[in-house]
Amino acid sequence: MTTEEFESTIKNFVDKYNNNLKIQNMLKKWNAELLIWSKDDNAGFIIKVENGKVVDISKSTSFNEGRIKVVGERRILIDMFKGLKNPSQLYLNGIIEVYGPERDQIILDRIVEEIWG
Amino acid sequence: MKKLIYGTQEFLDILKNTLNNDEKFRSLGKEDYTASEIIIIKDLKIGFWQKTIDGEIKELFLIPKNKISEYETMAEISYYIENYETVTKLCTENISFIQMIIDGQIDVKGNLKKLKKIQSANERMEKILKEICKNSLVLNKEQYIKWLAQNNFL
Repeated sequence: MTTEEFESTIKNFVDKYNNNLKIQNMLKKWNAELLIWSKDDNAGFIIKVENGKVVDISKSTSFNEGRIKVVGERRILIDMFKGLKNPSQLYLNGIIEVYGPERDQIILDRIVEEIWG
Repeated sequence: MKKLIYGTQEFLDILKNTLNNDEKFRSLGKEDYTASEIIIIKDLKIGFWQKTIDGEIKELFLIPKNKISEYETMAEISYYIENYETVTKLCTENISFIQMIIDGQIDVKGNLKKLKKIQSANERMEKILKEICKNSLVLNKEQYIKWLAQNNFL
């Protein structure tokens, strides 16, 4: 499980997200910056969302970035973004951590539900 | 025949009894749904209180204006709704509670882990609420304020 795989997994997920019309319609007023943070690497990716659409993905080495932070081991995050592990269960079992306003966290749940159902 | 009025204690009692007798709601809530929740209608300064234990609703009632702060401090999850018109949308429009949170029409604060656990049961609750609404009367804001005042909620 390499950082390259981590990056490509996130990009694949973002493609699914940006091409999902239901999500785009539902979240057209949503603007956010999400930090996906790998504890193994002490680094991650910033996903920038404007009017519901991801407009940029960039590498990050600062945990201070992002209004919403999803934190976990790289292997777990990769499996989660591939749809192999249920994010709600990971969160409820304390395997990943999510920080940020309640509304954003509810939106994340909804996105996952729409994409992986 | 007297029609049930949305947002009154009588309406809440029927909702509570229907849910407690609904096998699907009880099974979705079993083990996961133990929570104290409050819905605050900001323009009217009143609210709804719900206490659920192991999937059974023990308390569901209207909170008068002078008791809102007291119940707000006891709630594990608080939902803030801007105005009465938004509350009526839950009854009259095909829009979900979650969608209204996403749209920013409802703000939520509190224990998110608990909120995730109770989401499926809450969706069932919403479906049943909309069913009851089909045979209920939705008052306009002026009428509802009058009813609240007559019943000492303001």
